[in-house]
Amino acid sequence: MEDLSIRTSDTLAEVSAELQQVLNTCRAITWTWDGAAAEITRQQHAQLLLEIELAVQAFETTVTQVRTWEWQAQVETALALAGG
Amino acid sequence: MNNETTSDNQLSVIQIESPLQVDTESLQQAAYQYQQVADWLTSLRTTLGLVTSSPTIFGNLIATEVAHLWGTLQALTEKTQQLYRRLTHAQILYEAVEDANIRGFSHGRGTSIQQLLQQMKPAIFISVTAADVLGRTYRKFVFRQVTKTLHLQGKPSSYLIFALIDFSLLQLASDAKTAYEEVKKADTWFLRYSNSQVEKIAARIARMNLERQAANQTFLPYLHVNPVTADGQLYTGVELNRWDIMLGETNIPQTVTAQSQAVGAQSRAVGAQGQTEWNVPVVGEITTPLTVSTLLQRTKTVRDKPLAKTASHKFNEKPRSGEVEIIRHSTRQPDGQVTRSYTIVFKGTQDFSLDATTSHDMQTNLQAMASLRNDMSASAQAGLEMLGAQPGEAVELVGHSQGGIVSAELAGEAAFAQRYQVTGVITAGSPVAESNLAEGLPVVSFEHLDDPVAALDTKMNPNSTRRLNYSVNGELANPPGNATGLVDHSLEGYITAAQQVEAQPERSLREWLRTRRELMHLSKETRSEVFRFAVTRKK
Repeated sequence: MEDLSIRTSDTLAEVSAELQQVLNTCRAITWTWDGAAAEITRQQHAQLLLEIELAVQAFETTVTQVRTWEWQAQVETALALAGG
Repeated sequence: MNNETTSDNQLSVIQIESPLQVDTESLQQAAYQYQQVADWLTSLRTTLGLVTSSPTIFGNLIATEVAHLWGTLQALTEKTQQLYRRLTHAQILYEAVEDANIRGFSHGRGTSIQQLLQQMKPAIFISVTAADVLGRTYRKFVFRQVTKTLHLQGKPSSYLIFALIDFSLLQLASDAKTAYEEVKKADTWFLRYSNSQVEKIAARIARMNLERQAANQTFLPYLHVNPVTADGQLYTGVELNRWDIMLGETNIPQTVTAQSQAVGAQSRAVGAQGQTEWNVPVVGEITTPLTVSTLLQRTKTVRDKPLAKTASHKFNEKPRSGEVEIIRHSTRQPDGQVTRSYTIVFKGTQDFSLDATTSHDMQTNLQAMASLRNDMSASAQAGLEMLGAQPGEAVELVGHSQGGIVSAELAGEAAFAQRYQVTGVITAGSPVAESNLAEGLPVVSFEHLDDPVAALDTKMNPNSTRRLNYSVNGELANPPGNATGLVDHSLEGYITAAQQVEAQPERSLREWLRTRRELMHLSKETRSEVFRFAVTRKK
């Protein structure tokens, strides 16, 4: 496969690293507010943290998968060229 | 569900609680951070959006994965933005609550006027002081110059510069003062719409009607409340004297009974097992509404789908009749007995005139705001009586805008509360802070921060046991075509807000709904039948 898809895994890796930083930033956000509505907001905040964590994992898994596909694509391209 | 109410929206809904520990500055700071994170996530999404893949099998696989991750980032952005909106909303709200505690004046609009006045004060002070100081200097200078001129015949040119600056500053101070006075006037105007003023207006309406009656002009002395069939026909109903309603002298149960005897067997009920003396047709059976949003949805149905041929769903179309819905819930209990409870559903204002033929007009608004018996509350009670509601049976009231004001007024009316067991009130976009609702009565109210109708009482709804007040902020992503043009007052917005709260309900709301089910005797066995009554003012 051409260079474009090789860059895809790199791009994904970069975004994944940035997402980890987003997670750290979100973890640091605090405020003072009590009561039921505040409790719901804290739950939403906790949910957001969890979902960013899951997204980071999803990115990491995808980076590995995409690297494999990119490699396979390169092999196939090379074989095709050799055959041709 | 309807697209209008389920489309993604920019609303945030917060239950107003007080007193609370709130640091609004930290809320503002946190909101700002969420906004930064949302921007960051958007930029990451843009980066992913730029990725291209070749149209090979592997390329397609990669493209699918990237698209999936793009979607994940989009969802995260939306959630972050929701938190940003929620914290910003809380910050505005609790600054207003703080302000209310200081001034006893709390609504968003009122607060912003007060804030403006506060901000203007230092500017005026600076302008006035500067003009004054410079003026004194200038006058001393002039004195000296005049003296010099007299003695030395010189040209006093430099004081002219002072004079010019002084004049400009005086002008500025005067402008600032004028602007301040104008805003102050607006503030006073706003405060005039307090209940005492509304009561005066209501009294004026009564006088107006009396004069019209005397002059045999447009006053419509009778109110007809007629059961409506599913195809819009009006059945024989009751006639009430509007003058007596206004004076609070109508005993509706007695009047309905007396007229029932008078109309005779022909118009009497054919309903099974003595359900009702009157021929009140069931216009439909619905799934028992068990949430606040489904109850508010009924007000939308009443507004958008009136049945009476004399009614209209269009705003300001001068319909001949208004309409009120009553839902009768019948529940067979384990001991075999059937309990009945009722939900009265009121829609909002439909005509801004003071003496429309429909009761959804300004006259009803003003009377209800002044906690006076009005045509809509009288009609609802007449409807209940025609349905054969028994003393002590459970009744709840739901309404948007005018409907909420009427609901609160009727729930607080002593004769009504003595006859039935009023179990709860739900209002959306209604100024009900000063209504006579009994302490401890279960109430849920929604008010948008920028809803001018909800702000007419100029007060925050009081917190009390079982009273849940929700503040709404932001806008629907796709606001519906709203005839009044008041997007922040739209019923659709309030329904969406209620759905949003119910998606993640606080314990207090779950408890509120549980209490409602108990008081209204609702269970899986409940049958909910819908009845409609046309309400017409007549000569």
